[in-house]
Formats: sequence, C-alpha cells, structure tokens
Amino acid sequence: MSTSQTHAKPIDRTLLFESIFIMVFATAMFATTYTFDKVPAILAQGIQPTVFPRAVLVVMFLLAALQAFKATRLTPQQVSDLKPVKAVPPIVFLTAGLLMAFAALMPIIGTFPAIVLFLPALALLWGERRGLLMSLSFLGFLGFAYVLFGLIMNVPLP
Amino acid sequence: MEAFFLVLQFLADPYHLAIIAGGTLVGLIVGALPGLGSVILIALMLPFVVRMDPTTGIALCAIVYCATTYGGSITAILINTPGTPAAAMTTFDGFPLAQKGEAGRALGIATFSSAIGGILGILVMIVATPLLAQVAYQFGPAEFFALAVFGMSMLASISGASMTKNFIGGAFGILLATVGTDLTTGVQRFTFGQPDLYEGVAVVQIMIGIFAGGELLRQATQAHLKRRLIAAGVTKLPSREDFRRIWKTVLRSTGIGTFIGILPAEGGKVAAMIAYNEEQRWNKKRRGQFGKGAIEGVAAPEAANNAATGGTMVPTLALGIPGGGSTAIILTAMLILGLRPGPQLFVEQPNLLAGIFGAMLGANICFLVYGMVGAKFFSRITLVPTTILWPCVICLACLGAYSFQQSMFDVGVMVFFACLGYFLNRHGYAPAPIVMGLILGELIETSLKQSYLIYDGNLFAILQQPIAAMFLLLSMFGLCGPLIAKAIGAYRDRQAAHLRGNDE
Repeated sequence: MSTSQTHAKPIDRTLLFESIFIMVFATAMFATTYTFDKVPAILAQGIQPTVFPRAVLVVMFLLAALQAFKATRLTPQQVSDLKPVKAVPPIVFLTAGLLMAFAALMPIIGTFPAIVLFLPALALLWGERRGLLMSLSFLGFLGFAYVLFGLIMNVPLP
Repeated sequence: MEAFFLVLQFLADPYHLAIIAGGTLVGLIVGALPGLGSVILIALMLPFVVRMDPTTGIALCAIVYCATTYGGSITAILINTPGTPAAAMTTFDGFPLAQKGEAGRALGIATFSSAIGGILGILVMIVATPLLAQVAYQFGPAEFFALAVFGMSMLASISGASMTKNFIGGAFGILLATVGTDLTTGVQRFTFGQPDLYEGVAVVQIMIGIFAGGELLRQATQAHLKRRLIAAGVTKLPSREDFRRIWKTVLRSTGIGTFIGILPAEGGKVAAMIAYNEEQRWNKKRRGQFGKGAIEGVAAPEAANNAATGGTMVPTLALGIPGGGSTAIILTAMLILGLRPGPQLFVEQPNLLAGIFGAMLGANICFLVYGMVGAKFFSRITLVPTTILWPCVICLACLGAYSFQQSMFDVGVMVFFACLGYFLNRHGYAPAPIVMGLILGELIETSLKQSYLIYDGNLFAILQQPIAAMFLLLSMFGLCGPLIAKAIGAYRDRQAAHLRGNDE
C-alpha cells in the first residue's frame, strides 16, 4: 500500500485506485446491460434479464465506493501499517507470457511439441540449470500426459 | 442403520479399497507439497472425474480432500511451511517441537489428532446430513434464496484481506454466473457476440485458472527459495501421557471443526484458527507453552481442520451450498455429472452418499497408516524442486482445461483467469469468494425469479416464510458479527489504554 504524503490526511492510494477501477468496471458492465435484448413482460415473467445483473453491479459499485471512502479515512493504526507497494516482479510477466505462448502454440505445432518447448523454457526461466534432472523429469511427465490423455481418456489433443 | 450398512458395503469392495488407498496416497503427496492443496488438486482432477462413474468420481474427490488436509501438516511440522492453508496453525507448535528434536512426536500427535478429528467429523456428517436434508424438503424458492444469501453473507467472516474485498469478489463471481443465455427469456447476457459464451462461462476452467494458474504466477516469485528439512524422524506413537494430555483437546477441537465446517463458506483454515485460539483460552495450565512446542497446539488445529472436512460436506450434500473452496469444486463436479444435491439425492442415490461417507472414512483410516509408516518419505517430497513441479502442474492444468470440451477457447479462459487470479490475490481479493459467487449466483437469481412469480411480485413475502426469515436474520448476524466483534475489540483496547493511562 502506498500513501500520499502531500495531503493533510494520508490516503491509501493503491486501495483508492483499485476501488476506482472496480467502479469503472461496474459502470461499463452496467452500460453493457443496455445492449441486452428486451423481451415482452409476459415472456420475462415479471423480471427482465437485465434486472439481476444490474442489481449485482450496483452492489459491486457501492462496495467499491465504500472501499474508496475507507481508503481516504485511515486510522493512525492503518497509516502505520501501510507499506510501500512492490512492483510486480518481471518474472511474473515472463511466466504469464510463456503460458500464453504455450496456449497459442498448442493448436499450431501440436500439443506435445508445445509441451517439449514449454517445460524446459519455464524451468530455465525460473533458474533451473540441472539438465539431467530436467530431461528425466519432463520426459517422465510427457509419458504420463500421453498415457493419461491420449490412451486412458482418449482426448483428441491438437 | 441402513446408511451404515451401505457404507460398510462400499468399503468391502476391493475396487473401492484400491481407490481409497491410491487416492489417499496422491492426496498425501500433494498435501505435502507447499503451494498445492486440495482445492488445486480437485480442480485439476475435475476433467477426469466427470468421465468416471459418479460414485467413484465424487468419492475420489472426497478422499483427496481428506488426505490433502492431513498432508499439509507434515510440511508444517518439518519445514515450517504449511502444505495447505488449513495447516498454517500447525506450524506454531509443530515446528518448534521438530526443532527440539521431537519431530516424530509432533507428527504422531498430528496424525492421530487428524484421524480422530476426521473420523468423528464424518460420523457427525453421516448423522447430520440426512437430518438437514429432511429439513430441506420444506424448502421452496424463497427458502433457497434466503439460504444462498446466507451462504454469501458468510463471506464476511472468512479469512481474507477485508470483508469488503470478500464481498466484491463474491459479487464478481455472481456476475460471472450471469454470463450466457438467460434460461427464462433466451436473452444473451455479457456474451459480446462470442458463441463460446452462449452457454455461460466455463466454471471448471475458471476454477483451474484462478486456483492453479494464479498459484503458478505466485510461485514464479518464490522459485529461488530453498527449503530445509529440519528433521525426518520416523513417526512414533505418542506416549500414554501425551494421549492423556490431548484427548480433551482433540474432542473440543473436533466439535469446533465440525461446527465451523457446517457453516457455509467457512473451512478448515478458519476451523483450525478458532480451535487453536480456543485451546489457548481453555488450557490455562499450558498457556505459556503455546508457540514454543505445546503438543496441544498441534492436536487442536489438526483435529479441527480434519473434522471440518466432514462438516463442510453437510451443507454441500444436503442443501447444495458449498461449505468451502474444495467442496465448491466437488459440488461443481456433482452438477456436471447430473447429480443435484438435496433431499432427493438421499432417496435416489443412497449408494453415492454411502460411497462418499465410506470413502472419507476409509481415507482417514488409510492416512493414519500411511502417516505412521511413511512420514519420512512424505517429508522428502517437500524437497521436489518448484522449478520442475510447477511447469508440469500448469501443463496438466492446460491439458485438463482443453480435454473438458476439446476447445482452445477454454484454455484461453483458463490462462486469462490465471493472470486475473494472480492480480486479484496480490491485491487481497481471495479466489474463494469469487468461486462461492460463481456457484451460488445461479441459485440466487433463479430462486429470486421463482419467488417473484409465486408471491405475485411482492418480494417482501419472502420475509413471511419462517425458514427464509430465519436465514435472512442469520445473514444479518453473519454480516454484522465481524463488525460487532471489531467494535467490541476497539472498545476494549480503548478501555485498556485508558486504564494504563490512569495507572501511570
């Protein structure tokens, strides 16, 4: 959590931004409900299909507004508990990128070739350097995945 | 009596015994691996479970649920890292005992307390579930609406960064449940013209993504951590003196665990936390020893979290309201297999219920044996490098997500929710409330619509139904309880500060 020191009252800026993001999301989704088809009242049996999602979005918006309010009204204890926010480590983005690449490669080059590329790539990214251990473990996993999905479950993998 | 006979019949089948033995072994291994737990394991198992026959599939989920809950205590004691969140309290006294060279004693206490807590919890489940299901016969849409609201209100007290964040997560889950074609009117909601969303979001893929994928990204930041095994002694039986010291603790904690487990949305983690705190309060003789290696500090959370496994199954099977994260996934599996929890299940599927009860009972007895014989082996599993384990886990998750409907869109949904799960967790939005909302969302909307029709547009009539009114009242208590407790705590702190000021 980060605080704004320039204000007279300290603010939990991270929590405030989170809350604003949620409020924007809820508003955008609420606006989307206006694109839903309208149905005659007799078919809707009294409740239009927009009513329930809108009610949920209003609750979500109000909760986020409450959270935003709380972010600007911190008690001395909360102020002392606030810690500076650490940036998301690059390895998280790289891991997420590899995962997306794996999902994208599966239908292009096939599941097992994609696994053969993905497993050592992720292990190397995470700092694993023991070649023999990686080879044996990943070969074992490939065999396990083939038996489980290909032979037992008979799933037509891409 | 007939239920017990059916349970015994299930346990007499060698095939079922093999499933129990194998499932418990897998559950123990996974439970002993920090980061993985019952929720991730059951989520990963879902694509396979839905292809099995319903009794075996659901029983297998129940077995691994019991075994992973116990398995988490091994790492908590030996490497000061809880294998599962429910074992977090076990580290407080289990690890100091291991540091004193009494790892075997701590593991023995944990194994026995877990088994006794688990078995007693299941016996309560066998008795309580049909009784609760009988009550559910009187439930109409109003009662189910109120019950689902009660389930959501319990999000106020589950562990997480804040009550508001839990509710925002719950609302997000409910919103996800509205995606797809509205069954009453046929109108598409939040589908954005994407045909893959016409039948709604893929619950299984969301669960795999948010739990397993989110954890993968979290583990990415911890891959460099080295774990050190403090001691790996063979488990020894606790002495007669140890038994004399812990039997009351185990019974007390089992009661707490079962009760907490029955409450919707609560689970083993909360049960263990409350049992540990209560034990400190009750055990005045050894209050000073807690946190330094008191055996009661190991027995209490272990008995409670394993008793909670039986407790959480009660509302899941009797009412279709999940008792926690793991049971939410088990409930999803049941719904996919065409099994609707509730009173009809007891009439139509007595063998399924006997299978679940028998499997859980068998798993508890089985891990007692495995725990005593193989604790040394399971403790070694904790040293499997994260850099090897997690790439394999996430591959399995992707293949599982694909295999469900043979759709790459599902894999995309899983990857998206993996990224979302990581960021939500980082900002204190726990995945459990989202899953609760996702599962209860449809029930809330459907029962609300039905109530609207039945009471001719007067939704206040729901309050005139005694059972519904009771659940809504309990929901109010559920919502206000933590706030009242917080206010009382703050008042006491102020009083204490005031008194200290007077003394000075």
